[in-house]
Amino acid sequence: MKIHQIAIYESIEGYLDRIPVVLVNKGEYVAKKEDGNTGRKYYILNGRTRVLKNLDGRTFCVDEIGEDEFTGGLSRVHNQELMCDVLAMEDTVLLELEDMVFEELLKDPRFARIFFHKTSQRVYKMYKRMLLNAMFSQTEILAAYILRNQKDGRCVCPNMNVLCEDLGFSRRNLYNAMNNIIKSGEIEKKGRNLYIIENEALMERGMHVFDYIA
Amino acid sequence: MGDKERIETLEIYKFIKDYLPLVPILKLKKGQYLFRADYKDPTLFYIVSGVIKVETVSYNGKKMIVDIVGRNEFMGAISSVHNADFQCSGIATTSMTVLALKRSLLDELMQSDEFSAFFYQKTSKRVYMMYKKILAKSLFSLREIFANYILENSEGDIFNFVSMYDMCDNLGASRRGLYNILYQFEDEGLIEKTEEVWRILDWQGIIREARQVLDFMGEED
Repeated sequence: MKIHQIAIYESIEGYLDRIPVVLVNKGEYVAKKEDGNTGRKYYILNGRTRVLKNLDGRTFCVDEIGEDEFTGGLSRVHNQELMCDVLAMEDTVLLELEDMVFEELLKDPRFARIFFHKTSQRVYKMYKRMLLNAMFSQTEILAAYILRNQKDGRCVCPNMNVLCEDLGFSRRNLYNAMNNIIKSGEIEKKGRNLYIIENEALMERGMHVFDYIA
Repeated sequence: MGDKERIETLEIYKFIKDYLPLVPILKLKKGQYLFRADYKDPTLFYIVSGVIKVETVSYNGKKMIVDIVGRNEFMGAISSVHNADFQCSGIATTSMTVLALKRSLLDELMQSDEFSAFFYQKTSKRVYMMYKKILAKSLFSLREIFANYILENSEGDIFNFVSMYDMCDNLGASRRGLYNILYQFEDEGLIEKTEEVWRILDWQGIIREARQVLDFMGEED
């Protein structure tokens, strides 16, 4: 995406000499709790980041954010510090909005509207995902995930760590949920592939999750 | 303070003062529904006084309290505005007075950058808080969360709660799970049950249990 195409361009046009453009390579951190820089705010021009919460060795995927979106220490603006790490999932180009620049921009109602609208959309989606985990069983959620990500009856699993992060499950719970569905005869696992054997039964298992996320 | 005064001191007042004839004022009794998950109404509300409980119920009857909200907050199908319908209902836990903002009025107000920023800032602040609470349930044990709950709901050394049912609702825990932890805390000398109340015996012990949750929620001891 070109800089003049982003939603906040009109607001930041007069500040461009104070807004560095930062490149973060795939696999590197945009912000990391240990570095004490989780408060900085960024705007993604190109690429994708994953926002991760680490606690006692367990990693939880809070959000995945792409171009034309804010990322970084956004929760701090609402006095709700989540202290998350932000990881580049691909080579990512960002605008760095240091604190003073950000505070000045926030006084502009156009910028404030875009900032709060964009960030609140994301948090609502994040919350809905958490609600899903609270309201439905893990086998139901996994069934819906398999159905959503299948093509011609085959679902290619990302590696277990990524799947745990995506679904918000512990590794043990993920294995338990998967084995439950395999034992029921609805799917079969071969390597990284999950093959759907009983499509109707799997649909029935996951349908309430589909209804909820529709 | 009468309704007029209560309304004039609301944060939203400066945005709606020219539209007041178009804004119905609703009164609710405790226990009445302001909005329901199964009745899609795009009207939003703004709380003048009282407290509302927002809950969602799954297809198999599992209930979860999403939020408890008071004066100066938006209410209603806000999640739908953000294209993330939580399928919630809102029930008055006290008598309430609310302003009803019909969709046509809301669309007009949203033309203003100032009002839009106000709306999104207010609603995102609430949802961040909600998110943090629900994330805490995934990150911490029920023991830790319950210890934090005791700290949040104590006055002096008395742990106040309405009922076990209410606590289970608020914490999203089973009755059995919660009783187990209450008795564990009692065995460990952290709290004791007298005839009428639960009393905290070991504040430092409770704080130790709740430490990680306190740090995460950014709360002081």
